[in-house]
Amino acid sequence: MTTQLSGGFIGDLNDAFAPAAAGGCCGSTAAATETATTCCGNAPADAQDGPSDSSTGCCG
Amino acid sequence: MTSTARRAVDRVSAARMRATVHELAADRYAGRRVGTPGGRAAAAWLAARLRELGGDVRLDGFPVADVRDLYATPVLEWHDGGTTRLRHRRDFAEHLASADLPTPRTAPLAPSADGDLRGRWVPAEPGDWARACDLAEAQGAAGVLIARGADAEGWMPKMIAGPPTRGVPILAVRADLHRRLADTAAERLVQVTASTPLRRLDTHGLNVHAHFPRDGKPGTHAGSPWTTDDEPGAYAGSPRTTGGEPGPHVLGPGGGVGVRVLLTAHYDGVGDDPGARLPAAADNASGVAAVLEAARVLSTSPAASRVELSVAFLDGEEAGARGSAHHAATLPEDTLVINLDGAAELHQAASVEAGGPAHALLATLDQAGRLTGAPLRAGAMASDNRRYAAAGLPAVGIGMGMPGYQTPAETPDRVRNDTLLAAARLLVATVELLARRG
Repeated sequence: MTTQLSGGFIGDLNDAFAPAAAGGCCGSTAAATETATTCCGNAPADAQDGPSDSSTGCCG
Repeated sequence: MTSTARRAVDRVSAARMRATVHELAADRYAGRRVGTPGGRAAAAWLAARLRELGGDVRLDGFPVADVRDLYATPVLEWHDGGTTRLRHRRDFAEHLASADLPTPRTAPLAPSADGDLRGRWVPAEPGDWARACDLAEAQGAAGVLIARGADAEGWMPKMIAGPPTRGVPILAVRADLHRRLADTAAERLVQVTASTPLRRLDTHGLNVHAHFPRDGKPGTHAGSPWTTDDEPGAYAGSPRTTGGEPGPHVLGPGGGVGVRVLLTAHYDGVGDDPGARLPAAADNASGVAAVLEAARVLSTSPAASRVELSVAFLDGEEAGARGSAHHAATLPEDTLVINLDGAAELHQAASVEAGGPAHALLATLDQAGRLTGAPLRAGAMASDNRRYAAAGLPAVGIGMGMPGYQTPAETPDRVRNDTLLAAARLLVATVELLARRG
């Protein structure tokens, strides 16, 4: 294989540290609001209608 | 990257990954919902594949509470002189907070949520559904109909974990139909007939763990709790503080210090609907396929032998990331976790979310992306990676798309070979780079 320059992070890789990410899944408001954006490389999923104690937000 | 590492990356096989996706999406697994025969069969199949690769394999059971089970196809129709029958998962869907209503109930539709609601179905907008439920419960309403959008293909995705169950039946109606229904009710009497056969289940999940001994001989790694025993629940795990698993750093061949890497992907799905298949090919058979293929390549890679490599195929993600929550507490705190959720359709770039002390891991992933040509960008990954990060582990979540997400349209033919290859190559390259640094 040859080294390619098209891969790697677009923008600042430190942006990957979402402020509410650590522990933010599975029922947090942060997870619930992610339904307004893309998640898991996927189109938005509108399904939970609010935070829950067991929801992982838009990914499942 | 060394030539050896490049050869490892080039050994990734799209055909093998595609076969894995087709296998896990097959009818016999019935959508792989946690606690079902199909889910357990998928776990057994994955365990067998990992043993073929030389891994020490362990199945680890854990309880999962409050899974929402749609046990019959719900009904929704309205009558205003004629009858309009709506199609489940196209025009309406079960709401996860709904009370169980096994048989259809017919009642008038209230013109709004602000009038007399007793014995009536109550219309509600998405942002107002909780208040509407409060009013409906207080006044003895027949149930609540809330508006909800559909995906770009007109499906209303299925989920199995949600808000606490309310005291009234609730159905989600596609927004345009909800408006039409409300407009009709404003002009004349509308009778609604609906059921929501939705119950809560407590069940058990089953994680599939494999450890790849650095000497290539399964079951011989000193101090490892991994065995070939595959009895579910036999492995209780050990708290990190008591060192139940190998220590944070391990001695490599010749006494060098290595790193510990855990590759994860959840294999569970939301399960088939009554009478309809939800194959869960993208979410997350595709991610499992890429991790399994990366494990195959890495299990025989000389460079990767300097890494303490483990794989976890996790159950219960769709029920609230229960498998990873169970697993995370048992791991040494500097285990580097890479979770893949979705490897089916890469658009502009893979979504990457980092958590815990993952700066070095993230930098390595970036380098691997450059070497393999995989574009990456910061994006929310509300998946198992967050459970590991919440436990203090360096964890990254990677997502490369889920066409047909949790609908009958999530079929194997929509999983792209080039995305599977990009995902598996990225994983292999990352571990190879970590091995070189270790």
